[in-house]
Amino acid sequence: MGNGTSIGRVRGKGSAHNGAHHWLLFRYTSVGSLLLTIWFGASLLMMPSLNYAAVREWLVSPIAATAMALFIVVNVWHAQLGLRVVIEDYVHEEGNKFASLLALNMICFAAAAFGLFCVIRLALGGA
Amino acid sequence: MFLCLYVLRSDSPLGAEVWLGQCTWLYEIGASLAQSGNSAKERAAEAAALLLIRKGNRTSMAQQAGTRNRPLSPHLQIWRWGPGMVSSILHRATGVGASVGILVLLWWLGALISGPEAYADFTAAATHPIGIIVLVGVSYSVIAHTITGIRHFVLDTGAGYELGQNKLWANISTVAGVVLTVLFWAVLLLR
Repeated sequence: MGNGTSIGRVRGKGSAHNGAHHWLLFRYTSVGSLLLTIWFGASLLMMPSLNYAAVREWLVSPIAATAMALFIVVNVWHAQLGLRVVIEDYVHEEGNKFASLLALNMICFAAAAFGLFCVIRLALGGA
Repeated sequence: MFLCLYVLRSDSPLGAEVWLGQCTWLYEIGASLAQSGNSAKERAAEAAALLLIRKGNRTSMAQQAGTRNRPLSPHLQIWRWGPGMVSSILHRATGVGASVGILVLLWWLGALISGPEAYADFTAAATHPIGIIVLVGVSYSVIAHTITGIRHFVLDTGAGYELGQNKLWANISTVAGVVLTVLFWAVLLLR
């Protein structure tokens, strides 16, 4: 790279040719998130109480458990897509950018796994 | 005159800085045309000569320009704040806030499977003043991000870019985020 030829200075700074996929995934997950967020908000408002017993009783029902599992997956996915853009916009140094994106992906996978584990544990009993 | 403008602009390999320079040359050319009381033919020849001179200068500038800093696009402090800008920036900020909400959700679910004591700990944290601030912030983030997200959906279809419309819906989406958050907490606390 360096201060070489004009083409050398711009090489590798163009389009990656896969942005449309990210853009579409962003929109698809946002539709799912919209529906499930309305479900989640309405559920919170319609529950008689938010105490331990009431919330457990709500989440062990198959429909609520399924919706909660989807709610976790779609929101973690959408958050990963969004935070990735935020990191790419503000972290310019290559090493830091790579480390940030790596950390983001690991946190998102861990968050989704933990959330799904909680839902399954509640739905299938135990604890 | 417009033809001159087009010629100067279309073959310019440079950024805004040099383009501004060209505007000055155009002004010079225009001024000299206005001063000379010659016939149209003579004036055209004069303009063409001036253009040729400028083109010659520009080639040498082009060689220098590659090694200079390119003009940067203006950032936040340059723009006058407008409704669309507020809505768009809030969309990003609340998106990050909603991501924090996922962590709160996971804590809640984790407490739920860990037993009544863990749930009591979560409840204590959630009803602590700091906890309430976090929950209000998270609920606002989720609701406002949803509303501005719907606005972005409409804009994605290519609709709503007319100045008046754009301003109106940007303002509505910004205000709706706050109003719906207040409504949500009112219903939650007063039911």
